[in-house]
Amino acid sequence: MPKVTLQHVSKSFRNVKAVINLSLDIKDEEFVTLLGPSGCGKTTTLRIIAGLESPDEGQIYIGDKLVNDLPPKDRNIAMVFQNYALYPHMSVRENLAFPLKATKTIKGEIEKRVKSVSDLLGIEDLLERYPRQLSGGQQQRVALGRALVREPEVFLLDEPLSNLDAKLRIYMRTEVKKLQRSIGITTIYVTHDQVEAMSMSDRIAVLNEGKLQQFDSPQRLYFQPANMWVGGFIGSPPMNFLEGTLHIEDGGGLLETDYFTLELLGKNDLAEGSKGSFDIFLGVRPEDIIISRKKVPNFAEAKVYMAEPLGAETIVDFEIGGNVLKAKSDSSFDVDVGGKIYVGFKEEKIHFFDKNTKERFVV
Amino acid sequence: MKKLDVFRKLEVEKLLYKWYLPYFFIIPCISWFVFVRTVPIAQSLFYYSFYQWDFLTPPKYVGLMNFKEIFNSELFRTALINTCYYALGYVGLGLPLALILALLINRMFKPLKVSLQTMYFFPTIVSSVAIAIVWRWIFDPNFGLLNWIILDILGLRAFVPTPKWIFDFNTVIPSIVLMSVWNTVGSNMVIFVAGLQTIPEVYYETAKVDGAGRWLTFRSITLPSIRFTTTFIMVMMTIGAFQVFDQIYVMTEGGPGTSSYTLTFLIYQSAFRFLRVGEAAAVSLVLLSIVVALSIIQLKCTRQL
Repeated sequence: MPKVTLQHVSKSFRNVKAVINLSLDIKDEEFVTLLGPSGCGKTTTLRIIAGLESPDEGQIYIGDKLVNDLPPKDRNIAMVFQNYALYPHMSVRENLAFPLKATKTIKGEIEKRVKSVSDLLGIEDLLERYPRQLSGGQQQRVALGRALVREPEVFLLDEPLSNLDAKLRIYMRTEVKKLQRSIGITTIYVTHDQVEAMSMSDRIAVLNEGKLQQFDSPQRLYFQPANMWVGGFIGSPPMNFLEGTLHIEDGGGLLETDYFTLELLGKNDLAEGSKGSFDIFLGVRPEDIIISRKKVPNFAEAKVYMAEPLGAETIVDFEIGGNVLKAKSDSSFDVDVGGKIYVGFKEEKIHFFDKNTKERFVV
Repeated sequence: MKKLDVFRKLEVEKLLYKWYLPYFFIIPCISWFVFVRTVPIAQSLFYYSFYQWDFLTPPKYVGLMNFKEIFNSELFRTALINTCYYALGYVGLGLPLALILALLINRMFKPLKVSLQTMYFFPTIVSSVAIAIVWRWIFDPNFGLLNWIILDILGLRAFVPTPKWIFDFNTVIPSIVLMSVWNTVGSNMVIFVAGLQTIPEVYYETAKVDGAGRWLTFRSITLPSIRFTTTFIMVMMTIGAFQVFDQIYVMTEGGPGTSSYTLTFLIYQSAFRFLRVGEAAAVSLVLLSIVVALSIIQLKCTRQL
């Protein structure tokens, strides 16, 4: 299976820049997700790789072959569309056989491959049915089957699970990933659902307004977001942000905001090695906030604004100087709306972002 | 006194919401439809076809005589063959042509598409009698536009015998087919375009990624997707073809000889020229049976696809 490389790819539709200078290096057998809000350019990117759109600038390589000018059928890719695009007037068998018929495969071989792919996906019993007689999950499997039957080298999936109900979606998530692992096929997956992206991917390319924000493993995206946008996009509830000034001295520092001052004890690796004062945004995830009813040194005073009990945990919304922040606390925490609490931030989990560039702050 | 007014108002309102009120509004339309269309049609089909009548003397019951008469008549057989020939030509040429035009036009840039659609649609809104008169001139062997193009513009005068179009036994039906197709191809094309527009783009993209060529895509995706549109057009064209009258009446009056005699023209001639209402009614019944049978067959065939 080949790798897929995008070099400085750009694409505009009239005045809208859909993809801007996008470079990606997708490894052989890797499962990569393009993640972002609607209109971020992820589907356009996928369609460019498929050959359904041609880029205005840049090169696309599949393996070592430049494919910019190759039609989709010669790229050895398969694509699954969001609404499956099964032909309604063909039975499941005919749908599965269609890509093989299109490439003029001989009859015996078609039968063999349809059988093997339907065995693989557990749809042997559905072969004589029509798409309208199938459930959403079954249609999904047939769509995957139709893509796999050609034995493509690259598998492109455009929000394939978003038409399924929540329960089935979680199930199919595992199925798709297992399938990908067992075949070892290079896969590019488009979704706007971060949980899907985080749970399935080897690496995620986060896109916003046509620009690549970060291309990293799920872990690194979560724990080391490259900028404020990624920090705020990944994670639910999202990361909290507060404006402030960071004063760094040898081995430690002081974080000053309009509402409180925190002494940094040098646990955060960013604060090492240099000196100075910097205007920053403080970013902290809800689970990295500690809530206390008693006054604790180095904790800030806050007022409980609202509580959202979720069962296993409770999300506590609190107010510091007019900013509402969210913290995760265990469900035993007895919330008293309007009451006074003290909040502390796990220093090693705090993120700093440059106030002007909004990029991750590196000293 | 005031109380009474309120009651009256309420009664009027009550009446307004009675279930039968809407039916009052459609009485004029329904009665027109029943007394001017349904009753005469039913009368002629199921009453006069068993009677001998000349509009003047009282109708005389003759049983199946009228049918016997027409089935033995040479003219009826000619008219039936001519009508079938015309229908075959009209549907066989008009349907694929409308589809081809629709396919060509469908992917075009929108302003161009709309103006072409309007252009092709134009003949549909012109009266068929007016069209027939114009085409009688176009088909004229000596002064007509068609022969001028073929013989003078293309310079084929020396190589081909002068085509006589509607004045020739062999070419009269094809000529009328040509004119009728020109007349209706636009409206059929518009219906086809509407059908084509309902096919989701993603089917074509899937086919493209799967490596299907144009012909396979057309055969396996486009055609099956518009099969209901196709049947609709086919049924409407067939019905229209069996009812061909204006063109014949204006252009050829069944001639030369009886070579463009059609069933409807025969009905007209029998009833209003020779005052044989019974025979005309019998032919109408046969015509109706043919059209109904063909429509059912066509609909059944599509269902099974």
